[in-house]
Amino acid sequence: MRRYELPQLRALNFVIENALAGGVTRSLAIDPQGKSLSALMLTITLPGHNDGAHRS
Amino acid sequence: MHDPIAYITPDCMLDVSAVTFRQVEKDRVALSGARGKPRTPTYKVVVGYFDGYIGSGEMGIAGINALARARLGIEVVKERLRRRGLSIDEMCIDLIGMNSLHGNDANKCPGPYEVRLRIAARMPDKRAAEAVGTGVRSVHTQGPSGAGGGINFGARQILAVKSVLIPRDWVKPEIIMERAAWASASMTWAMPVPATRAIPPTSPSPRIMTRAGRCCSADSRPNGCCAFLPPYARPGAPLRIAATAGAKLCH
Repeated sequence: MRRYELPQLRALNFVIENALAGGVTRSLAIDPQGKSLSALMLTITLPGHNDGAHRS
Repeated sequence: MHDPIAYITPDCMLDVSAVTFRQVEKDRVALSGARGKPRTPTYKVVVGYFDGYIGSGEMGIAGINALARARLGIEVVKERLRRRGLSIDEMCIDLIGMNSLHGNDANKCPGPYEVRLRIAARMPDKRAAEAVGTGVRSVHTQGPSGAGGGINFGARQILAVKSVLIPRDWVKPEIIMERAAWASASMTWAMPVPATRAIPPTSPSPRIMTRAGRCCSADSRPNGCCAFLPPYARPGAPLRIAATAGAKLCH
């Protein structure tokens, strides 16, 4: 996984290789584009950030 | 987008690392700071190839112990395919579910009240792929109890796409202008054209033909491996061809 930072846009761009089972045209996955993967990333708990995934 | 500093576009490498947005007035936003870098020494070529067939189906399972019965359904489908002697290249099994069957509280049971089973498999031929959805749908009546809402999505042939990079000098574009009478005077070439010849009007819209023999008309959408004319190209209007034959191989 590679992270690109765009500080002037307050944006991070993540590139994850080989995450789409061969790509949208041939994948068997129910979400072949991987559109929902950003939500998976948002569940990652960052060290020292109050167990961010468990906020109520 | 991969690298925001070197994003490959049909025209050049794009650097968006210094892009900024500014609110000009209500409902108007200005964008600035996008920079172009020199083009790459390669063309990106999108290759399509046949990659077998995908068959798929879904089945809903409701009630107490739904998850275990869904898992039993998976084994039933697999066993049916095995007994038919069908080889499976690749299989994807998903367990989905919230309240699609009965609209009730998803926490009605200790475990999930509802599980929706989805099976998709890559098979070598159409007949085998069709057996996947058929097998899933047959769980309605020949599988675990409490199954309903089955769907057989059938089989589809897969045209897979792979991107490759080729050296720019592998491509020798040959451009043929049809209806050259109106296109000649104000034409500007932005790339060296090895062979240009005019042929009499035969077609209602101007066409560019690549060496590979693919062609498309002025009003078709650009695609991976053929040149295109912009929508403003009309008989009698100034015609500007800006490296389209090569550039559309690279996007």
